[in-house]
Amino acid sequence: MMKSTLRRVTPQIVILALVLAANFLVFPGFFHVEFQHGRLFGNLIDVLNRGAPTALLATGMTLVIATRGIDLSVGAVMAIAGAVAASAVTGGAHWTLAVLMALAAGAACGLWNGLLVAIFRIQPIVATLVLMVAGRGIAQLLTEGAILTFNDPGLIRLGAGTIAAVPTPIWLWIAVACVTGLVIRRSALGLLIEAVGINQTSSRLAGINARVLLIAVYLVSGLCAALAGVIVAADIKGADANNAGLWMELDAILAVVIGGNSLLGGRFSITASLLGALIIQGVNALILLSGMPVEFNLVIKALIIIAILVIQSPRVRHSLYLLRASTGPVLRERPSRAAPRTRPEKGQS
Amino acid sequence: MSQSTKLPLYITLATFVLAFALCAVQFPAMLSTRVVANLLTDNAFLGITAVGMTFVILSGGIDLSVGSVIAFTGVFLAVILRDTSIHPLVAFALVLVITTGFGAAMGGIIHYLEMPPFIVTLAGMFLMRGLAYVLSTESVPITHEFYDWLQSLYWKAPGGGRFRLTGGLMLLTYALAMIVLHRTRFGQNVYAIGGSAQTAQLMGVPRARTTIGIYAVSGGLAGLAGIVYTLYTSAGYSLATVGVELDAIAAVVIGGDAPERWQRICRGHFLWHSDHGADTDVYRLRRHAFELVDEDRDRGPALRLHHAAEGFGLGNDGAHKASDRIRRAIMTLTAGGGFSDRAQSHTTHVVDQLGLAIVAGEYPERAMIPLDPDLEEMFGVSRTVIREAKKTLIAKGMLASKAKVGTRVQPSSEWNMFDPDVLRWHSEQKTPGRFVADLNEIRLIIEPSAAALVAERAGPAEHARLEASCEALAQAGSRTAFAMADLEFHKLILQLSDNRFLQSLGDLVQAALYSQLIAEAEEAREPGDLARSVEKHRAIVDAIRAGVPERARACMEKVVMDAPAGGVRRAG
Repeated sequence: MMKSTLRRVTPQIVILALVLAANFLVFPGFFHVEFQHGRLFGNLIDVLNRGAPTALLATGMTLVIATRGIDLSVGAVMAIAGAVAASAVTGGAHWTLAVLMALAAGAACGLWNGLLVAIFRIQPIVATLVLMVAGRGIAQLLTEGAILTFNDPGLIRLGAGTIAAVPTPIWLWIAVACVTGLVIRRSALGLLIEAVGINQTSSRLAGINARVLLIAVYLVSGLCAALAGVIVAADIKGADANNAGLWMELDAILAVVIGGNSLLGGRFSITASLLGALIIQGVNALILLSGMPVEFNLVIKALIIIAILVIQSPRVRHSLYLLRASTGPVLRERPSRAAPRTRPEKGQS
Repeated sequence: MSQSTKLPLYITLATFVLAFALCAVQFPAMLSTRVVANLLTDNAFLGITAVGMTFVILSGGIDLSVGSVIAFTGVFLAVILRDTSIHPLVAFALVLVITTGFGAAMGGIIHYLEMPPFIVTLAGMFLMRGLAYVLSTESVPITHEFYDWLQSLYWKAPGGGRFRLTGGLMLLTYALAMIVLHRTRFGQNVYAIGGSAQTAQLMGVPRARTTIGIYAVSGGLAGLAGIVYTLYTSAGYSLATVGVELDAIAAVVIGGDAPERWQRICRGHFLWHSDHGADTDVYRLRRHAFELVDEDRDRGPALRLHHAAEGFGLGNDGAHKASDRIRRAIMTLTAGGGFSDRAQSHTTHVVDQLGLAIVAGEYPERAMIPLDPDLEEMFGVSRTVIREAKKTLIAKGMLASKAKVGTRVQPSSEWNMFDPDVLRWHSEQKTPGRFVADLNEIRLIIEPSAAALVAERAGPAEHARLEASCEALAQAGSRTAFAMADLEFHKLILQLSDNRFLQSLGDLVQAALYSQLIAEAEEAREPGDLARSVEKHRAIVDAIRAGVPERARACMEKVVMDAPAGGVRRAG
């Protein structure tokens, strides 16, 4: 089990190592971590810390994508959750209650998405587009159009505080990922989710309650997004309905894809998605540390992403396989006639 | 079929009319030409973008980069007009080349590297936005006489509305897109790929060229939209039009799906409630124009579905399913080349691909097919799927498996030619070889006798059904419609023969007509041929009604003899 997981995520680990090595090259102090004022400081810690929202979103998004769906609304849900938490604490509620309310709001959003997808059978991309467009409006209603600031130390600690010298967000995303991973992989749930993603009809015929599973994954995605929203709001001590989690859905999907998960659903690996999130954050850090003019950030990010995706593209992987196979022992026993071909479907193009 | 595919269109249309009427009742100013003209001007860039997006979405893809392309175009134009003395028209041409090339490059990556459009265009979005930043992070004003001149071009309608150049450009783009999608091979190919990329490829659609073309169109139109946007704002700003891609996607999708309609109704209400009669509120107007734009966008696809369904004609699942597929493809903003249709089970896919390869002679008779692990890698599926697929092919007599030797291709004499799949694979070959000749021989043996049997056994009710089928044949407007009707006719004959063996042979006819259709797609028959063919079919019906088996037999022979011409002529 452990071994196969390791093999699955090897490409991601290699890419992450490359990105980190590149970081080290442009900034030799990259791996330096020091302990100051009761907290760990260092670029590596920053990558882990800043990557928290993406990592959280990627956890939920992996499950959604594994069912052949997609959740475009996570960015908007982050804004809603941040607004709910902020308006609750400014209204005098205890911060734990505020967080619970934010999570409930996220769950409600997830439930809405899940109902649209599972019961009303709307294409996931369209169903979640609704909340993506409407969500920021809802958040603005809650904050009444302003950036709602707060000073509750309990809530702020979630975003900017530390537990055992490590920033809280790191604990949070690792904890969420571990719990999700354990629940999913120690039970049959993961297998069932994959079954639904591969072929919903046949999984239903096999006795899987696809509807409940679908609703559940969107619910989890909503919860993850809500937690990410709370962290982001706590980090800036305010809920910004317009900008909190803006375009985060794209980063989350990107993390899942860099993690080698197919957008067509089926087999998935949360670990790989998390590595994908860290890769994205590592690339962001690389761009910052390299001291390139900020204008180039997006261009470099785009180029690195394209490079990563090209390496992972099925076509390139297949060519690599053929290269390996033609020199390895695989071919030797085969009659020359049935030489390996590319997929037959390409034969005519 | 036409009912079900057009229903969403009617509902959206009605919703729009209702919303507009409610607004107009509340605020008569809505009806003025000024409002209409402003709607056009304010949303010209969005409309043009949506046209490009329509191509992409029809093909089952998605293009997230358009908003960034618009921003890039704006900044590029502003910077180049500020820093050089190039004439704007040259700059326009330059930027259109860049954006079209950029779109084509994305299409190339999507096709050749088999990467999901969602991710590729996402990277494209970052890239274009980033390039815009690189050019300038600030808003650059555009001051050029030519721009002033372009902006001063408008037609003042009675009532004070100013119909500007950009609005006209949008309408023109729309009209051109309609023509391209409706009337050109490229347009049909877009639909075909959207329906099922695999089927499209098997039917000879140049997939690489079409995919690249689609994204080039989207990129180019986004560039055009960027030009229009600079005419509208007189500036280039790298932060402009963030999120326009989602607007464009929404514009294309709305009306295709129930919740979106619902949302639209809500929007209509919103308009109605919040409208204060002033026609300057940009947001509201944009929302409104949105609906106008949507309406235009919707009408096309729904009407064209009909067309495309016909074009798919005799695919293995007939027009009904094809139209459903296309409909679904339009509604699904598929990413990865397939949230949509490639759901077809893995086993079926592998069976199909292997079967096609064997029939095509890629694996000759008695050759070994690759070992299981290699097949797994080739198709990206599990061992179980491969085993299952091989079992299916063995059952069809195409493969034989021997322990410790491997799996070999059986000689073609062993193949179960009556199996619908085997028939279909043969009929999908580009060079049919002796298949068509063989097929027509067996048809010549079976069908005339079937016709004779019908002549003996049919009563008045059966006569009426034959008449109706013959009438459908005569009414068929296009080649595909004719082939469909032809198929129905021959199936009916087999069915009415009241012999259960004959009744199960419908697939033979279907395969024959299908391959004939493919053959004829390239060398169009003259219209007279169809009319003559109808006459020959009518002769069969007459013979059957007269109850003369021998004449029915002779007439049917003539019809079947007619058929090989297409295939044989091609092969020779």
